Amino acid sequence: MRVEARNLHVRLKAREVLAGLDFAAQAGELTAVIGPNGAGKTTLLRALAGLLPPAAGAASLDGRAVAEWPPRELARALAYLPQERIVHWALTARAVVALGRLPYRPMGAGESAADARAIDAALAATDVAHLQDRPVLEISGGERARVLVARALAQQPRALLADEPAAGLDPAHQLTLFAHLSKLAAGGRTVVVALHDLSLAARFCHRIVLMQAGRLVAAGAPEDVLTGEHLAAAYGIKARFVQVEGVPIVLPLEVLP
Amino acid sequence: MTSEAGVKPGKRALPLLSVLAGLAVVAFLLSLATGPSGFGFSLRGEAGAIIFKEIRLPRAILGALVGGALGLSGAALQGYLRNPLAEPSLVGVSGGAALGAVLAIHLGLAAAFAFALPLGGLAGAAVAMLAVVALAGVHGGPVTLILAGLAVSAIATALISLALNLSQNPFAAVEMVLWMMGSLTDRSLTQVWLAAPLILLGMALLLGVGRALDALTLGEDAAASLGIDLARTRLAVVGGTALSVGAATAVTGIIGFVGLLVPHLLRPFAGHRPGLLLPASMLGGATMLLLADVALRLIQPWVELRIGVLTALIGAPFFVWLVLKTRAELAP
Amino acid sequence: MTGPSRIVSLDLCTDQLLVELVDRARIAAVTHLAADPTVSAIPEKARGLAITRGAAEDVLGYDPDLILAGPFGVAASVDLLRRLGRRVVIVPLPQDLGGMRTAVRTVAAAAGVEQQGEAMIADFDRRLASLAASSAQPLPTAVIYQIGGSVSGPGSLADAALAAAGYRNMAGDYRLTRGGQVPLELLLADPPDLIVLSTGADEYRTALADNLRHPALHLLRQRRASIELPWRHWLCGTPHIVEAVERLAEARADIGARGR
Repeated sequence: MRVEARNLHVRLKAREVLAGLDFAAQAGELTAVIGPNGAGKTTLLRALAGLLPPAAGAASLDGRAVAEWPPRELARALAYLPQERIVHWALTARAVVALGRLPYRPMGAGESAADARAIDAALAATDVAHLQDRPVLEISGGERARVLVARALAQQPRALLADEPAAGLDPAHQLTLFAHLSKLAAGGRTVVVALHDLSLAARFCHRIVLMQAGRLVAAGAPEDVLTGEHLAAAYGIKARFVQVEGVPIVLPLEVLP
Repeated sequence: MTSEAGVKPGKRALPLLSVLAGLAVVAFLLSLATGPSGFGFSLRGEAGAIIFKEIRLPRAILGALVGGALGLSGAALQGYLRNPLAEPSLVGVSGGAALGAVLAIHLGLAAAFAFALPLGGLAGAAVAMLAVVALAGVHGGPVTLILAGLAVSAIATALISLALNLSQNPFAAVEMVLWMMGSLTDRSLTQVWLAAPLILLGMALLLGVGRALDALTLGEDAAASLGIDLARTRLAVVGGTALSVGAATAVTGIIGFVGLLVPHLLRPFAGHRPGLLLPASMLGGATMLLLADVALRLIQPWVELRIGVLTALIGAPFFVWLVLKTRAELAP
Repeated sequence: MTGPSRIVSLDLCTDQLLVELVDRARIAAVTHLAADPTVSAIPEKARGLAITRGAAEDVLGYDPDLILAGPFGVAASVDLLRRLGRRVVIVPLPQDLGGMRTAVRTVAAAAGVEQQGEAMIADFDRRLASLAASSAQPLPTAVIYQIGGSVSGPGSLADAALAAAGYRNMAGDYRLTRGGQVPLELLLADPPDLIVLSTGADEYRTALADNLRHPALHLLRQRRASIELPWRHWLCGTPHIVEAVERLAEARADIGARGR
């Protein structure tokens, strides 16, 4: 599925957060959206998910404007994982993941066999199957984050938009999560991830999109985007892009005056 | 690889709802059998048939409908506002309905045509809900909605006092007491026929938001991305509450605490899922109000209570328990 | 002719006695209820008289030399008026026919029209005596059924009226609630020979009168004799209560027609 935005303008509370942004993500790719705080990463993802109407320009999926997709069809095609890890009630972990199957269940229907399989697969992929009967508010923050990722996976979407999915996870789970996201992309999905961890982005993502102040600064392969100039201009830091045992790392060295 | 230790969420629904439905039926039968002229279904003489059909049957039906409406709307509001302290009276519906009904009586409309009373209550509830939504804003958070509800309730109470103060009716003071305390006594089948369709319509609207409430567990953004129409959900919750609680209050006056207590008590049994809590609270609310009404009639020789007083007497200690429990949970 | 010439009445019951005992010219003011046909037995006679709501300042405006009041509701004003040196006579609420006679005498004495008072009482006694005595044994039963299920129990003026008309007041037979009310169920299960109601139920603009509008009561009235007696005849202990007694006595014939 092609996820794109053309000349996208989005206003929030009279402030223009996205100022004419162009964006494209392809199926089979894991695309990272990076940029300093306030660059508009979350707003971009929300607009691509159809949660924010554009003031000008358009966000589209497979060539069709997001606003024109019927809600149920959109929910089956695209899963959105917000940055805030909200769970209002003390559901079990499995019940939270089961919410991802809502777009597939007709009104009043119970869980089907297909639903159960999708839920089990999602629980296994994020390594939270052993927690499935625990109330989700009683497990640790990192474990809860993985449960919420599983919810998005249970939707079996063609496109997954995730806002900081690995924040707060321990290193092992960060790696396994991104490994799974890569696998999803390899399997033909479109995966777009907003994140701060430049090393993770460099290591796992095919494409990186660098944003600043609501505009596109650079887009392309990691080594093309994560250059000293781009990082200095966008983040105001001096950084080096190195490889250690074949794994790319972005090392922030110092803050520039 | 399914869990062996726990119960799958889908499996929880049937036993819970079956048990609650059974309790509701038992409570309904108990209500039919209880009254000052004797316990049981076959009462002596031709008067017995009249007593059963014209006095006990409407009382039991209303108890079930009103209790069900209060429980259901309480669960819907708590689910929608994501706040376990919400209940219909908190968002101004009960006060508005009572004001509408009082005006319908005192302007003589209720004497002019029969539908005036439940329609008046309904109109009052609708106006109150609109005022609350207008005050709190369409995208306001839960706190602003509750504050707006308190404001509208205060205004409604003041206007009720004013209406009764200005009224030439010598029973004005007692009238206000009646509305504030709620009553199922001596309601007739006519009132049942008038109120029931509106209550049932409101309940149907509310039962339909179960999916949306489940999705809202994850917040508004995630719910919208799961395909939930948030605006339609808000309208259904507001409209369903105004219809069902408005019509109920018009016939019985204000009965509090049922909408708050029942969802609270049943939430653990429903796995904390707001969608399942809706039908569960409907059945639980009906059961609770019917049993309270039975208790009321059993103690009648010794003390005369109004149903709203009884539910308040049950509800107040519940609040105390809630405070103590929360303190214990938050303690280091 | 001696006696007070600027009399103010602060109570519906004293209003009615005053208006019938004393010349209009000597009445300074009465309450607004005196001309209200719902509650007053003599509304036409009270029309046109000045009206007071009972506040001391208003009453003093009439410079009264006699103030009549009932025992309830105006205690603060009465207290103030007395402390300002005005003559206030409290007329107790009659609980039976003897008390009614006492009330008439009290008002008549205060206004200096004792003769008119005795004439009023004599007229009442004559009409009472002319009622046919009841020959039925046991006496037919009756209940005065009011708003909210309230009934007039023994020791009230209404109870005395029922007795004078030849009935046994059945209110005491029921297991009343604490508030002195009969649940509709009990009334249906064990109905009296005569059900006494005050005016049509639709006139009551209050939900408290729902019991009077209840279909079950309507069904009961099809099977038992009932009578509608306007409130105004017996709300106060005036000799007008004899009109109520007369109508109740007439209704005894109706009971025979319907059977028990």
